[in-house]
Amino acid sequence: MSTLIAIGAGIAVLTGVGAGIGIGIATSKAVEAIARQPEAESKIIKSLMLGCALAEATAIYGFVIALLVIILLK
Amino acid sequence: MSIIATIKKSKRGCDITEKLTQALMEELNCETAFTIPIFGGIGIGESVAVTWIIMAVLVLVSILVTRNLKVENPGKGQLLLETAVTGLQNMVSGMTGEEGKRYVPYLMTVLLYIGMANIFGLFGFKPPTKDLTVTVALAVMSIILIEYAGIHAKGTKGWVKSFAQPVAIMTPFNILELVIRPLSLCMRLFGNVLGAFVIMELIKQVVPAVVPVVFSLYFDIFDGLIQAYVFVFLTSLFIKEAVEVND
Amino acid sequence: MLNLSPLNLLITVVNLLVLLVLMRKFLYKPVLEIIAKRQKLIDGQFSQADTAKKEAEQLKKQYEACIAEAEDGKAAAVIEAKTRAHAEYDRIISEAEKKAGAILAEAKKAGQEEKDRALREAGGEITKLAVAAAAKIVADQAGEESDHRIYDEFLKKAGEMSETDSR
Repeated sequence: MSTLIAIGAGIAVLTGVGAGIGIGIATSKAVEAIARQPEAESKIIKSLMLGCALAEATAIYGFVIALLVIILLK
Repeated sequence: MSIIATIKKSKRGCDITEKLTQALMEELNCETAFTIPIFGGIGIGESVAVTWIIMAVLVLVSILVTRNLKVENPGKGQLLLETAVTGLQNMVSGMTGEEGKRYVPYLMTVLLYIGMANIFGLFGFKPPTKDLTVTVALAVMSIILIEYAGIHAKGTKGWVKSFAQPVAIMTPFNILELVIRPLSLCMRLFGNVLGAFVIMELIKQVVPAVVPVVFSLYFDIFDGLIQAYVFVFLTSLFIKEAVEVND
Repeated sequence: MLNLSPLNLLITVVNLLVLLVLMRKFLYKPVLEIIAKRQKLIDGQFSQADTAKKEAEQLKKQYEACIAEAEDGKAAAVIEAKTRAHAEYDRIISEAEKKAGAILAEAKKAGQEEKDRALREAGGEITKLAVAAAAKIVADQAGEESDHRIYDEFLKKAGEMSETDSR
């Protein structure tokens, strides 16, 4: 049982993959944008921060679900 | 408490793992700080106690810094304070837009509270945002405020009608959003703080000195402030969307 | 961690509302009030500065007008002085001319008088001479020859006289 729970929690944490890819793409685009328009850096960084925080949320959801799986199914 | 017991029971195998888990669960658990002996005993959660401390600190600090305000020749401290307050106000009112200006003080308060709560982890307190109760309370207040703003701006009829926009078929999704929005707000904040807390505790268990400081700079200060900002940003975004009259 | 107690939730909500009120009272209001006051002060100072500037401009205009007037006056004074100087000059010249004429006339008159006097004197001398000649004639009792000689002598003397006179 505990093995299955561990596997379930591990699968839930896989959401982090999506967040990582998303943040990577966002950052690369942001770097391109800054290279093209260095004067708009502060605005771009602000949007990037926000986007990263939002993209990170999916990983966080996975983490929360994993915790729930571990704690509630024990 | 029962969770710890079950974990203790099931984790009898490895000694180190068991110790780590035990310490972690102890840290994670939100205990009842004390009980007020009225109405048959009100259990005050730890998060509420820390919230009170945060409130006391915020109020004391604001009384201290606003003590000697001068109209002419302000000192450096006063200039800093004015810049901070007006900057915060401009930031939040920039996010809510012109129609949502009346909700700015609340959003500023929430921003200060969440930021303080997340930073309070530095001082050895358990951040109250780690407790689901607090984030649920914040999220519930946010969704109430958002819907209130919609009703205030459009009138009850317009607010009801706005559920059927942009097309009638979107109505169920719009109603679902009433639940999804606060849930996502609450879970994002909670998950972030909890995740940071778990990682910090793990690091503290493994390396007790020096290394946690570096990580706590990121997790407690940077991530904490970013999450406070994101919470307020999303709330104000929803408010802006709610008060927009689109005929 | 995951247990939700409705009571604590309620307390948290109340906490947040209380915090909102407190922050409003102790942080936002004083700071914003101070900023508003300063804005007012600055606006007042700006308007004051504006009026002061306007006043200064008015003063400057007055000043310039004064200076222009003074310039005009100066030019007029110069012109007046010139005309006066001209008049004076003319007056002096004419006076001088008059004086010169008077001196000349006086000189002429004096000359005339001198001449007259000289003529008169000459006449006196001639009479004297004639008397002397008559006395000689009477004394000598001479003839025609001596008469001629006397005439000649007389004429000669008279001629010399007139010559010296006209000089």
